[in-house]
Amino acid sequence: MAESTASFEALGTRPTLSRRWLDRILPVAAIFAVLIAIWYAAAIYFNLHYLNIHMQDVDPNGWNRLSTGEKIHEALTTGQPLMPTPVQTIGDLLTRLTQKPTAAGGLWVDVFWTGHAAILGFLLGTAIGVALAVLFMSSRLLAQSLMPFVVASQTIPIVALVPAIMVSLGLGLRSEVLISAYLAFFSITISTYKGLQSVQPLAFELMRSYAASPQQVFLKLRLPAALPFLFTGLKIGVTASLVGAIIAELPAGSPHGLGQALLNASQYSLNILLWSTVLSAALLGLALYGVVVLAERMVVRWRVEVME
Amino acid sequence: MRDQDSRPLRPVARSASATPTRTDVAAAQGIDATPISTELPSGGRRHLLRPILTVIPPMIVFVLLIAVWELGVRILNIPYVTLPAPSRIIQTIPTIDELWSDAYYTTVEEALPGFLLGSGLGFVVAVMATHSRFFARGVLPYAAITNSIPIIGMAPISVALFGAEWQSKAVIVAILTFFPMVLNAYRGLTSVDPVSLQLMRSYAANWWETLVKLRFPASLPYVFNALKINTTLAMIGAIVAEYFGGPFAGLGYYINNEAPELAMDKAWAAVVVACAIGIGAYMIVVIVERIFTSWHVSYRSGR
Repeated sequence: MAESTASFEALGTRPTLSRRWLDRILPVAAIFAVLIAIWYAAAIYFNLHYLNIHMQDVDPNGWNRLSTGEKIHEALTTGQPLMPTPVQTIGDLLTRLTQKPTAAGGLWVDVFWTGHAAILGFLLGTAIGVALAVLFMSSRLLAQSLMPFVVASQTIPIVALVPAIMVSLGLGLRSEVLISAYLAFFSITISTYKGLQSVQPLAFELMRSYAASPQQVFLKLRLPAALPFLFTGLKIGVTASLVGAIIAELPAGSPHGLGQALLNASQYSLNILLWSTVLSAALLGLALYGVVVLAERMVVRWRVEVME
Repeated sequence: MRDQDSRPLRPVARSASATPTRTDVAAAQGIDATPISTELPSGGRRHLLRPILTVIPPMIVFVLLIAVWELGVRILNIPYVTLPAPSRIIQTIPTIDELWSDAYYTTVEEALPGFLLGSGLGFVVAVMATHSRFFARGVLPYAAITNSIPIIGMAPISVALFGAEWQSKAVIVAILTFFPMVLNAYRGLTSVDPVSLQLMRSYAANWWETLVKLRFPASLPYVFNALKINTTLAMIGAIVAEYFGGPFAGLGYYINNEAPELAMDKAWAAVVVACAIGIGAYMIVVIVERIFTSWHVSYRSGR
């Protein structure tokens, strides 16, 4: 029933602020509270489990004398937790974000490195993706011959290729950008191709009656029609390019980068650092996504419903 | 003939008097059965030739690609530590004893349990969201946000919490596959025609009956779309998690071990096996989809 009520609501007048608050924000806040509660519960469970084993070696008598409440307190405040609490994670993230951006070994250096690779990969992936879509649009034979490979390229676990690519092409930014572009181009090709064909047949007939040249049909009809679809692909692609940049840093020694930071924190079991790095990668993802959404708002000013 | 063949691509070439068919309109509006469709718009009406025509061009391209790779490596004398020739990779595959146990470990013990767990939980959550509007409005924004977050970065967290064995890999695979299923299944479950809902209501069908007889069948194309996305994500999740410390088994572990030692023929052999498994798993989902959704409009003849 939910969707029918929602559509009626969309047709009706704008709901009042308190109504909107109840409808939209309350559910999200409720689930947020549940998630945080689960996080704390999990932190207590994992850290107690860890401390129960660990403290038997360090100070068994002292640990066993503690009451359950004191043990839980210890589990939530220990400096080397198996699973840090939200407060510890966000605290560590804020400490590292307020460091000088150029500080050696700081978070900003890693964020810039990975962000740089992801943005270059995204731009390259966009260029390849759009070029392929235009190529497929212009030749049915090419589309038929190559599209299966575009699809197959996504069914293979690209990450398996990453170590091989890194060794073949050499370590460093160039390989990282290529892997990032490889992950990004697919959704851009598919959605742009679909968008280029999303023009109403009537509009083609109109252009024909204007004696428009193929270039004019492309520039004035197909391209504007493809833009909303292109942005759908770009939104998927920008996250994929970040995933690609992070994964590319995993197999072998990248000097900086979030993937490298994850690997280091993981190998030395620095769990607070690990969690805050994961959180910063998520925030970087949201920021890049936000930039694409902003660009979409600026470019596509007309309202179009795009089936994703 | 040529006109017909290229109809969806060059509508201008059609005679002006022809009225647009239903397929044309649907294609023009970007309407598709599945959220991310990768199928080409079908061409003319040559039913008998179509399968051959759609299979042959990619086959030719595939053979050409392999030939260029092989000849390129031979003519340019590229050493195998940079890029091994296809023939060398194929010859290497049977010589690696642990390859099959590694492939089995990654696929069956790590990816499969996570895939089933994540997809299953995702479907359950989607059903719950269909049942409760409050729950839907609370959960779906989070599921949508995960689209813009590199979830794979959580792999080391999973390894830290659940150990280096298969469990940690299954957990990260479950997390990766969970969200596409929630979003797609919810879209499918709510894609039913309001008229059909009213019909069910007039039959005095309860929520459960409506779910099983109306919403489940309607959701199948979307669910299978999520499953197709998830086969790839499952392999990616398992392999990446192996990079963060593993049980000294698995394809990701093997590749990551051999590549830095410049045993590139061995690394590529494992890559080929991983690709074959990825494509194979995808094909299995496609076949099961065809069996379960043969009624669906996108497979009916004439389209």
